[in-house]
Amino acid sequence: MTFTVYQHPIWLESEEASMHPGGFKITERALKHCNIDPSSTILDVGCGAGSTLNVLQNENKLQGIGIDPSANLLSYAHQMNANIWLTQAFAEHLPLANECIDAVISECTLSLFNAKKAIQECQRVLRPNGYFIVSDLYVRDPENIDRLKDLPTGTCFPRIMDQEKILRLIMINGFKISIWQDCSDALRQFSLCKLTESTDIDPFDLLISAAQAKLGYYFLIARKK
Amino acid sequence: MSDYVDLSKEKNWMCANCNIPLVSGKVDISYLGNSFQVDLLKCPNCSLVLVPEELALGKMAEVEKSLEDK
Repeated sequence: MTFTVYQHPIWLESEEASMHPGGFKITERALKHCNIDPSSTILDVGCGAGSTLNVLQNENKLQGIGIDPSANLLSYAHQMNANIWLTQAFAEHLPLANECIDAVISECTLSLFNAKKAIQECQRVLRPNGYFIVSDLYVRDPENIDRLKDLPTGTCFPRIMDQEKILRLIMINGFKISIWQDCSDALRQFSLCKLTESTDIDPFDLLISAAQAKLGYYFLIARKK
Repeated sequence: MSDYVDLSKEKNWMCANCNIPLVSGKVDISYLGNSFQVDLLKCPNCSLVLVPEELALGKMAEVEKSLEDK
């Protein structure tokens, strides 16, 4: 598994260094639905350059910790904010004890990992009734999901799922769904230039495949049972 | 980034307005709210862009159709 696409320096050029559609608006929208105590511990799975963790700390007075497979991105995150606990890890193997986390945030990262194993790990580390806050791409026309499988590996595209599969995976692994919201408008503002410049994806092929599979974006909140 | 220009084949194109050779450069393409950059031949003076026929009738047309069907 390679993550070189998301280590491309182009993702760090913007002031926010946000690497997912919707920026922090979706993060803020999700947090408003949750009753998270300031003493809570929040885990950002696939924290990248740590931009969401900084927003949690600076604008929401919440303390987050982050894991990411990329040492380069974690190094950048540490330079930006040395007061956040970060460690290099994959979502499928979280280096955390059982039931030690109050909320897990996964922003456009679930489809980068083995989703089933990642969800099971998030369920393991969450305390009972803990929040699982996910935003990610999804396919709105499952009959054309194969169009995305032909796009390069190293991106999330070959692993993107449809709504039914996402919800089923989360529910059978010990969660109840509180909210599902479609945020597909966020895709239009997302920088396709950055994605195509950091990969060898032909932008025309990407747009054609995305349109045929009706690529969308969602956020959901689930609670651990 | 995708490069749709083979300069060895396209070096003789001139800008009809400015009468100077077209050069390869980044071009912003936008359609129905989706935008991205590709390398195409353009005039260094007036930025007139040459869209090769193969691209216009091929992938570009397919993108338009896919987005309109969405």
